[in-house]
Order: sequence, then C-alpha cells, then structure tokens
Amino acid sequence: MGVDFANRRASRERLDAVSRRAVSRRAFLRGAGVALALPLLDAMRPLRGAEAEAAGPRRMVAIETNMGILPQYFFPEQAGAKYSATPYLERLAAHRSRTTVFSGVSLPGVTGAHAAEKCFLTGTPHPERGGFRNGVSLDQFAAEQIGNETRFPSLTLAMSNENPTLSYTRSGAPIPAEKSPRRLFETLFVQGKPEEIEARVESLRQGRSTLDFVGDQSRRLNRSLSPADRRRMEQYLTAVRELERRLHTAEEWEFRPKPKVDAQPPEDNQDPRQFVERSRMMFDIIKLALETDSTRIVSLFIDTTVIHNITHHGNRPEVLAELRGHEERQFDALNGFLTTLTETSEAGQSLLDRTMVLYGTCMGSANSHSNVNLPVLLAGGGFRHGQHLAFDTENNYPLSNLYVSMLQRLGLEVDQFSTGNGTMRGLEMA
Amino acid sequence: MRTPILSDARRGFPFSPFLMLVGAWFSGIWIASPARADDFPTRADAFIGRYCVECHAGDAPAGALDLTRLPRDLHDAEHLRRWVKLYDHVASGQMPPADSEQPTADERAALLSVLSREFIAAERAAADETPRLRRLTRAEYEHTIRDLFDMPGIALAGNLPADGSAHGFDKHAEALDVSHVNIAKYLESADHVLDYAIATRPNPPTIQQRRISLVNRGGFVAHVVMNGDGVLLKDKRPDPEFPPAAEQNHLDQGAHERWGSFRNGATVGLFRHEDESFNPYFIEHVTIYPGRYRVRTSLWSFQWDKGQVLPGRGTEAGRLSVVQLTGDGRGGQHPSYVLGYFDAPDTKALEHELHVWLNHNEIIGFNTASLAPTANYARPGRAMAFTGPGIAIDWLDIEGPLHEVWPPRGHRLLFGDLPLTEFDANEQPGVRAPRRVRVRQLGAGMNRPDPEPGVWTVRSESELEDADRLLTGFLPKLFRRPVDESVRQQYREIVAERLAAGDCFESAMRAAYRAAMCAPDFLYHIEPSARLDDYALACRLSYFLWNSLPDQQLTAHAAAGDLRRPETLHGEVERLLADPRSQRFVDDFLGQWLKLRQIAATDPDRKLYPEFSPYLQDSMLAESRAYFRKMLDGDLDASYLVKSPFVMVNQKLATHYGIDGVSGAAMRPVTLPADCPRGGILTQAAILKITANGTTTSPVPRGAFVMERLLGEPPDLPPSNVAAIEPDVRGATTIREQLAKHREDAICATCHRRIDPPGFALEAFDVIGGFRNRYRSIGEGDAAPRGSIDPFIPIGFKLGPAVDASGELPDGREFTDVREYQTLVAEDATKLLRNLARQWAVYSTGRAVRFADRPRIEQVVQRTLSQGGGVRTLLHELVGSPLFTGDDNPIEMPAEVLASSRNVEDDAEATSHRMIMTAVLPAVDSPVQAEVASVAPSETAVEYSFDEAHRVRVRVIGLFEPHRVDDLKSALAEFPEVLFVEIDDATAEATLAYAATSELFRNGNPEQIVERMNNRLRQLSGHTLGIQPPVATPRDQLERIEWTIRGLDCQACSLAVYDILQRMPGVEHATASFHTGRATALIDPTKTDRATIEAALKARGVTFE
Repeated sequence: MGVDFANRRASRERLDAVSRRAVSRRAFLRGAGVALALPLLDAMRPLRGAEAEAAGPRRMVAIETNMGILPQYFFPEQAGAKYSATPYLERLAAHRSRTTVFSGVSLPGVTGAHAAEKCFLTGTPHPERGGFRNGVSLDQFAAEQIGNETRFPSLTLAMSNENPTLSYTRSGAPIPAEKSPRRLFETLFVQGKPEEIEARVESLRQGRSTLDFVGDQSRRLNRSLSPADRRRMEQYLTAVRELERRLHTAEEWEFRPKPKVDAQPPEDNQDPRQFVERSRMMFDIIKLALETDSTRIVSLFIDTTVIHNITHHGNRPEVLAELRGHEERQFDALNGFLTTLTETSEAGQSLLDRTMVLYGTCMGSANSHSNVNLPVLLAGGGFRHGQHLAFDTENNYPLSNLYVSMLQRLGLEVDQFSTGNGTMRGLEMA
Repeated sequence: MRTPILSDARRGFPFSPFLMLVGAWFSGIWIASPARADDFPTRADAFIGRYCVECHAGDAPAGALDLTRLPRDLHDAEHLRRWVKLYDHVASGQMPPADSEQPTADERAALLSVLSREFIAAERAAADETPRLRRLTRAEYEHTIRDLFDMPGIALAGNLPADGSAHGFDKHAEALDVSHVNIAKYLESADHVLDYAIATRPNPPTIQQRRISLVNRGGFVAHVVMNGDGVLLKDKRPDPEFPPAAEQNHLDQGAHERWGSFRNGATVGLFRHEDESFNPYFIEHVTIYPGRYRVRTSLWSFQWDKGQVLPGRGTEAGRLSVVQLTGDGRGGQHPSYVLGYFDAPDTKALEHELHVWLNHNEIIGFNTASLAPTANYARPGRAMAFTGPGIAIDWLDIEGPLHEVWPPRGHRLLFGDLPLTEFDANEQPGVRAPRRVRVRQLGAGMNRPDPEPGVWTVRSESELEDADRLLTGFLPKLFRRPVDESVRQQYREIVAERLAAGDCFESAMRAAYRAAMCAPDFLYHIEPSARLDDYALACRLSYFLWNSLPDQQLTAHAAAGDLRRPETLHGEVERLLADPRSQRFVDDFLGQWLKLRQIAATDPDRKLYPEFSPYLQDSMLAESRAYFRKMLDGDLDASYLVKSPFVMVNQKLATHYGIDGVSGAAMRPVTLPADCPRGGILTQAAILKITANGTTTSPVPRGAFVMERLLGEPPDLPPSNVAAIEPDVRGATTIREQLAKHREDAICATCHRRIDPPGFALEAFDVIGGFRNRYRSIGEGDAAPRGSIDPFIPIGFKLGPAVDASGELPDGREFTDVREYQTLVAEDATKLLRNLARQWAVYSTGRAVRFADRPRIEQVVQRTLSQGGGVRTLLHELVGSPLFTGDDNPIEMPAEVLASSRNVEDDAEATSHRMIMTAVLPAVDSPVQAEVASVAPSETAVEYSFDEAHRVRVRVIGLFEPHRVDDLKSALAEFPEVLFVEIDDATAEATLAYAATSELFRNGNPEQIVERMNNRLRQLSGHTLGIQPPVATPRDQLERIEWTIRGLDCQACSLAVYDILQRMPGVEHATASFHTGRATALIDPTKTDRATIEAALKARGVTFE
C-alpha cells in the first residue's frame, strides 16, 4: 500500500538526547561464544563438490535500511581500488579489503519512493502501481535451493515496530519477519516441546511417505512410455528423490538438539529511537545463527522510519549533521558485525570470508525520494573486494546483476534473477 | 565449434573417411565425393559449391553464414533448423539472389528433394528422443483444480515456479522441467486445495450481506477526502454534515470516525486517481470464507465546481479489482487482479452487479480509472478551489459466501454423500481428530467469522469400502483417464495404513488424495506411446480450448469411443468454444503468441506519453482479446489479422485512436472510416506497445515481430559483432536515419530489407499505439497540440521530425504509408493463415512443427481455404488433422457444424456498460442458507431505584456544544443503572444518581463507580462522551480563553478541536462550536496559558482567524 508517509507512523520524536545516551549492551553480547558447534551430519552436507566440502558452506546476509543513506558521505569520488574513504566508509576502514562499494547502481524499474522498500531483494518493478505483484526475493530464491541444508532454511528478520519484511515468496506474498531478538534467540537455541517436535516430525514423515509413493507411481508409468518420455519421467523421479532427501534432512534436524550457546536470551527493546542499539542486538544473534550453522541465509530489514522526518533535510546544515550522526552510528554497528564475523574462523577462513553481507538502501536520496544511485556495499563472502565499482550515475547499472553474482557464489546454477540477466560486471569471485 | 563432418553410418550418412581427415567438406577446392550423386552431401556440396560459396564462404561471409562450415549432422536440432532455413531460402527463390547466377529448375528441385528426404529421415530418427510427455503448465494446473473442485477462483499458479517457454509457448514439452522446488510446491498446493475443499462445519458459513462505503474506517479514502481529494455527497450535493475541505482541512480522522461522519450513507465523490501513495479499497469487507460473492456497486460521475455538483463531460469509468491483504492485515497491493471497468454515467447512478470468487483475506479495490492524476491534497483552497471531473461511488454491496449446495461440490468430489458429524473422541478411542485451523478476521473488516462449530468431519461406517468407492470416483477424474484396479489398490493401501496409524477417516483419505495430486498421472499429460487414445484426444481438445481437463460430456465421448466421429469431434469443438471457459484459450494463446503477457513489461516515459494510464493499458489488452474472439466467432479470414473494416474498442481506446462517438467502458465493434489505419491485429495499441520500449520505437523489433509472429518467417539474430542502435529522443535524428546507415552495410542489408519494411510502416504509431505524423521529443521541436489528451494532464513534450512510414517489400512492392502496407500484407492472407495453423499446432500439441509435418499443415491450410479461409474453420481443420488426432487421415468437418456460429449477427450486441478483465462467474440465485445462529438469551429489563445517598458529582467529557447535553441524555436513556440529575453548562459538571444495588455498581468505591460509568457511557456514545472526576480547582480561580477557528464548519472537526483542548493539562473544560466557529477553554492559569494551548492547536493543523 502506498502511504502518505507523514501520517504513517506515530513516532516523530526528535532523537538527539536519547540517542546519545549510552545504553548498556545486553549481557549475552559480551564475549558470547558458541559452546557447542554442531558437527555437520553427512546427510546434511551439501552435495556441492569438493570445494564446499573442504571450506564449509557459503552464506548470505542481506540488509536494507529503508530511509536512504546520505550519498555525499557514502560514495567515494574515485573508482577502483585507490578510492579515498568517505566519512561513512571510514567507519568500515578495518574491512576495506573485504568490501566492495557500488555506485551508479539501482534496480531497473523499481520506483515509487518509499514503496521501493519492499523490492530491495525482489527487484520487481513498479511497486507503486495499483496492480503491483511482488516477486520472489533473493533470500527466498536461494533458500528454496539450499535452505534444507540447515535447520532453518532462512531467517527473515526486521528491526522495527511495524511489520516490514524483505522476504517474499514465489507468489509475492510477504513472509512475516521476526522482530523480537528474544523470540529469535529462543527459536534458534531453546529446545522445543516434545509434542511440537513430534507433530513436525509426523508431518515431515507423511511428506516423505507421499513422495515415496509418487516415486513408485512414476516407475509404474514408465512401463508404458517411450524411451524419450521415460527420460522425461526420470527428471520427475530425480526431483522427488531430491525433495525426499531434503525432508529427511529436515526430519533429522528435529531430532538433533539445538546448538547451545553460552549467551543469555536478550531483552527486547521497543524504543524506536534506539534503532542502532536494536540493530546491534539483531547483528549479534545473526552472528550466532551463522556460527552454529543454524541457517545460511538471512534477510534483515532495518526500519529507520523514526528518522524519516530528518531525512527530508532540505540541506539544512544542522539537520544534515544530526542525520549524519545517526547514520555514522549505523555504520559503526555494521562495522561491529563485520568484525565479529572476522573473529570466528571456519576451516581456515574467517566467517566473513564465507558470508556475503549485502548492505544498502532503497533510496539514493531520501530527501528527493529518488530510487536511483542506491548506496550499496557488499562485504565478505568470497569475492575480490577492496574496490569501488563505479557505474554510470545517469544511466544506472542493474543492481539485480549483483544478485545473480551472489546466487552463483552460493553455488546456484542461475544466470538470471529478477531483472538481472548476468553477473555484476567487475566483481570477480575470489 | 563442432567438427563439421560427422560420419555415422548407422544413421545413413555415408561420409568418406578422406573427407573426415580433411576436416571440412572442402577448403576452397572442390573435392569430388566418391559417393552416389544423389546423396545428401554430394548433391548439397555440388549446389553450394556452385551457387553459394561466392558469398557464403571465406573470412567475411554474407550474413555471417559460411555454408562451407555448416555442419551436416542433421540429428542436432540446431543444425537441422539451419538446413531447413537454407531449404526455405532456395525453395522460395530468395537464394541465390536475383543478381547472381541462377540454378536451373531441375537443379533446384533435385536439391530440395534430397534435402527433404534427409530431413524427414533425421526427424524420424530423432522422434524417439523427442519427449511427448509434458507437465501441466501453471495455468493448466490452476484451471484443472478450479474446474475439478468447483473453486473457480482459488489462486494457485502464482505460488508455482514459473514455466519455461519453447517455440514461443510454455506448453511445449521441452519447456516444462521439474525440480525439487516444483515438487515441494505441488505438495504445498495440494494441502492448500484440500484445506479449501474439505467442509469442516455442518452448515455453510452465514451469508453476510453488507453495504459499505469507500470512506472506510482507518482507510486512505477518508484521509484524502478530509484533505479535499474527494467530497462526501448527499442528494448530489455536498453532505451538510461534512463540508468540502477548503482552506482548512478536516481535522483528526479518528474524531470523524467516532462521530460517524463516514457512516451516514453519504456518497463518496472522488477526484483523485490511484497513485504512489493512494490505493483506494473497500476495507470493511475482508473475506474470511473463500467462495462466491455477489458484488454490486452504484456509480455516477459529475463535474465539481468549487463546491457545486454539475453535469460532467460524459460517462466516466471506475475500476474494481481484487486486492490481497498483506499478512499483518494492513492493506496490501498484491497479489491483485483487475475485475473490470464499470461505467459511471453523467449525474445518473448506474448499478453494476457481478459474481466473483474471493479467497481468504481478499478485498475489493477501486480506482477512478478514467480520471487524470490530480491531487488537491496540499493545494490552497483544496476542494473548494477545484474545478474538474469526479466519480461518485454510492456504495458497494457485498454478499456471501454463496454456496449452491452444502457441503460444497469440492467436498463432495472427495467424500461423496458421507454424513458430516461432530467428532467424538470418546466414541473413537485412539483415533486422531482431523487438524483444524481457526479462521480469523485479519484486517479491518466488519464481517466476522462464525462461531467455531467444534470438530466436524465426515463419518464412514465401513471405511475401506467407502475409501475404495470414493477413489473409484476421484482418481479417473483427476488423472483424466481410466485407472486400473491395481493402481486404485495402491491408493487404498495409503488409506488403510493411515487408518491403522490412528488417523480418522478424513485424514486418511486426505493422505491418499494428496499423493494423487502429486502423482505424475495428474501432473503430466500422459499420452500412450502408440496411438493417441480417445482419452488423450479429449485432453488435447480440452487443454487446447479450455486450458483445463475434459468435462463430463467430453469424457463420456472418450469412454464411448465415438470422439473421432466427425460430427462428435467437431461438435465438441463448437461446444467448447461456446463455453465461457474458452476465454482462457483466447487469453493464454494471445498472451504468448502476441506476447500480450508482456503488456506491462515497459513503462511509457511519463514526459513523452503523459496520457498513458493503467485503464488505457487494460483497454489495449481487452481490444486484442475481443478482436481475436470476434475473428473466431465470425470465422473471419486471415487477412483480418492485418486489415479490417472494424475495430473492437471502448471509449478510452476510441479516444486514443481518434474515433468519435464511443461512450463507456465496454468493448464493442465500431466500423472504421475508410482512411483509418486501424483494424487488424497489426495496428492494435497492445501490439504497438509490446514492440516498443516505452520511450522510443524501432522498426527492427516491430518488423521482427511481424515476421515471426504474424508471417511465420522468424528472422535470424544479428551477428554478435553488430551493435544495436542507441535510441535518441533529443529530437535531432530519427530512428530511420540511424537505420539507413546500418543498412548500407551489405551484411546487414540482406536481412534488414526483409525485417525493416513492416517496422517502417508501423513507425506511424508511437510507443503507446497512438497515430503520429511527427515524433514526440523532449528536447528540440515545436509546441505540441493537445489533441485528445485529457485537459487535466499537463503536456511537456514537443513535436520533432516528421514520420516517414513508407518502404519497399523485398519483392519490390512499394508502400507510402501504413494503410498501403496493410493492403499489401493482406494479400499474403495464405501466409498469415499458415502461420496461425502452425502456432495453434505448437500450442495445442506441445510439440514443434517438424519439417515432416509441413504437408499436414499445408493440408489443413488448403482445406480451410477451400471452405472460405476462416479462422474458426482453420481451428476445426487443425483439430481434425492427423497432427492433432494422431490418425492417418483428417476427420472432416461436417458442413452444418459451422453454420450456426457463422450466422450470428454481431450488431445486436447490447452494450454491457462494463469491460470485464477476468472470468466472471454465473450468478448463484438460490444459495443454501446457513442455519440461523441461536439467538442470545434476551436480557430482562430491570427497573432500578435511585436515592439521594447514591449520587456522584462528575465532569462530563465530550460536551463541546450546548446541544451535546441532549446527546448525553439520550445516551443515559440506554443506561438504566444511571439517572441524570442536573448539569452546569458552564463547566460541564453534572450530578448523576446510580443504582447501588445493580450488578454494575455493587460494592464499588467512588473511583470505581466513576470508572464504570465512564466505560459504559463511552461505549454507548461511540466514544464521543465520557465521565471523569470533577475539577479540583475552585471555579473562581479558572480563566476563560476564546478563539475563532478558521473553517470550523463540521461537527466532527469541532469534536477534534475539543479533544485537543480537553486533553491538555490545565484545561478543565472546553467547547468548540461549528455553529459559531468559536472555541473556548476554561483553564487553570497556574498550569497552562494561552500560548501553550495555541501552539498545541497549531501543531495539529488548526488555524485561527
């Protein structure tokens, strides 16, 4: 639904005083480590060749903030590896060699100002139109293929008091995001009740027995088919077996104890003005989820509507300064997240080297509601980073091509996704 | 690159080992082959060596085609395709070109005969490798379920992975792959279907009938109407209770809702078109129970003139759509589809009624489709300063769910007539009850779910016998052919196993049904490898014309074995085409053949084409569909594809085409003036939009479209080293000038002299299909006249260079404009007809048309031509042909079959006042009524007694005007536990007596008594009155302040101002009067002051005189 934004959300308080007040970070965040990292079951190991076997899985975290990022403090002037860091990128200086900054990119046809926030991972054009139907989001597309290799195919998260989400199913239905760090923690690490497990296992078993049955039916049909049709039917049988294997894996998960972490469940914080703190809490649990291989795919919607009014800064210096302060602290939080990922290693590489972290926003300038020249960066995950990939700011390069690159990096055999018809020019796998 | 020579004796291609060593047929030197002179390589080499190598060899061969390197392995589909292309070029005389040495007729014929023989042999060899087995497409899957379960609107396709496409259609066997994702989605989908189908209650859900307004509680329409993008009307005048927003907007939507401003039956007059932040919908009905609903609405239009309702410019159109709420119950925009466009006649209300299927959480959306985008929202003076058209929506009636039978047909398909009973765990120890999901009202709908009836489920006295009986009925329907006893046995086994495991009968059956719905027998079109049997033929027919499974009658013919009788087969074609389900064929086929599915793929540039709108786009789609339908129904010949004396248009499209005298949204045939270039698919706006990029046109994609889609001569892709032309809208050069340069290149010229001419002719039309003499430009150019563009749309474009739509066909025939081109191409009617035959052949059989099929296609074409050449005849001939039936000979169409449809007169068509975009359901006239819910026990009226001892002194909240005391008294009249004693108007302090013995007040301390009074009074007054403890500050210490508020002319706004004042600390009493426009506050000066209050009022949008 399009929204007259001024009327959309209640909270319009100015942030100055509160946001600077130090908020004690939650106990679980201090030195939180993993007591028990689950060994990968053989059945759960992806059948993805020697490279994956040796180095561990590939992962992806996709983050959108919805109120723009001030472009003048984000985009470097120079292209290539030797760009001078801008105020925001300065905050991520420690990860410069593991980060690629993009400019001159946008999602083709994704317009409609704030309406574009729901298309950041789907790239579906024209969310502002009456008959709009969203498409599958990057994370869900990937989760369909590789999600069953972990307990949770993906995590759809939001830091918000509203109900935004970045994740959409094939039919364009929004997947409700988990907003409570506490509930998320419990879902990930607190064992469910036996009867709940029982019910889920039963449902998975019935799914498997259905598949087993229809597999037999295809064998029966084969007898009356031509050789060519038998080969066609083979594809069906393969698909059934593959799904069976995935359900089997999912069933195994139900019996496995959830990983134990020596962190305490966090306390939820509802104050919209403390969005940076709340983002940090989400980041910390995401890190735990990745570390325990509970999931490999995460989407996180960081709702910064609370600063909506000051994003329409009209170039007033004092408002710009205030906004810049907030955004710098957001980049500090991101920096903290990237740092914790580098501090954990897996099969000789840091977790960050195995995890793509996409961070960006749906508006190039929130001041003018522009949906082009999006500030976006990609950190980690196994690319040749350390550069500023500058594209034409007049005639933008499709950001959706980056999504194709990311899917390929996850090991998916795709050359097209949404409006992306190829991989990101200039971004090579490491 | 593959080795060009492949020797494979098994496949009958004797190649010399010597040649293999050389690694090419020849390398500039002709080497005589030792093989027989009539062999494929020998004959081909001789011909090519003599007539072709001059151009088609060497470093830069013509058309980038080096024939010396054209591989001869015809088993490779791509190689075969290229050879067939060569064959066609030689056969048509196109090659060798006229200016080079020509082969003799004998040489030509000999080559063609050898090639033809080799092609057919190669295809026969490949036949074993070509699958016939194909999966249901998403659309086929959805329609099949909809028809089988009688759930005509259940949404399934959107949740299945997208299908591929081959040879232009998703129905092609090679396009329909399956992965584990598909299977997972089929499982999900089966569960969803069974959830919808299985009845879980003894009686149908209560039929709820509700009249709702577009100004919904909490909705956007109310919000924009408060700000002047619309008005509330009563008796075709502004609603006196809600004056149009003027300099001062209406304050506080919540206050207006409490006051009931939007619930007094007023009509909504809307000026604003949907846009980025405004999507109107009727949110007070949010579907809980999926099913059929009757929707009625009343629309009219008017001219608004700064407060006055005047006659307008004519009939406008409103759009109804179906919108799916998002998961959290807030309004959403997807997935949604347009129901249709409905006439809103000038100042005269017109009621529209339609039956639709609504899924869970779906609501009805609305748009002022024919209005230009305009917003008074933040404009000075708002509605009172605006003059322009508006559309009035009196109301929307919605009634449903309407079930013709209970349990519904989908349930009966699964469980027959087994009785529904309440599940009793004691009676069936150890049996698990079926799973039930509680339905909820997610959104802001006023409709509520019925009380849960407990767990009701089908009951079987002899479970396995019933299972067998039910499966005997269900499986053949689902699988679309008879099912062996042994197969049924396997499904029965599932039921037995589940029963043994403790499932109840419903759950056990459900497991079997779910398996069947994921089985290949259902998901694939199974055609026996030998002769196509009658069941497969019935399926071909129904999936061709309905995109769905055969119905009872068609299945009966297959079972009786008489489907191949000419009068049966062709009679069935007629019957299927006459059924509304055949619209799926028109939509699905055109969606792919003419690429109508891509109508929204590009977005016309708003500066260049400001008149473009969703209504125009939907009208384009509707035109192409209606026209094709007309061709089919009238059995019109193929020349109508490119040229026609009539068009199918509505008012929107007629205006776009410059045709006068068409009023209303409905598509209808209109005879064209003689010189009009419209008529025929070629010049339809939809085609012209699809073949442009939203900003510019190019003759190349348009020419390629005409060649590939209409003429059946797909051009080859350009060589990879040739850059495409960059569009330029600055106005300096035309695309034609740019292309001329391109064509100077000899390599390009050979193809472009064929591709470009249709595109040149179509240069007469812009990217949205408007006719043009000059290009629109953003930069240079002359001022553009408005033409037929709506006066409320600002124009920013200019007129650039003139359009040149002339050209020359490859055979030398010239044309000066699009009309002449139409005439020329209409002469190729046979070519157009042949192409349509091929397209239908691929679409209906899911297989490419092979070289060997050409004689059969030709037979279909010739037989059709001999009967007048109509496209309906063609469809019959195709269905009767061996291509479709698998027989050796055509099944001829009896002459009388078409007689009835041909004689249908179209001018009798009554204007329906609407343009329907999706299938509309037949009316449900006598729905089964739900049992009347048991009436709540009536409360016995109690007389209470009051005494002096039980009185409280309170302050009444909400008395913003003197007359509100009357409202207080009438509210208290419904509050028997309280008695009004007296009130001080100046301070709103009242004395109330209460019945101390009543349930409500018994044992209450004074605070609790005031609290309980307050709660009940708020409830009784719609939250506009309340009770608080009296003011503590003595009266003489209070100070009175007064303001004159600008534009305070509405009661609800008075309430809003009062609310702001009353809620401020230090304000002990306040008033705000829409009669006097004045507000007062009685304040405690130690706690607040005038400035503080004024600041608070200003912050909420109040302005002072």
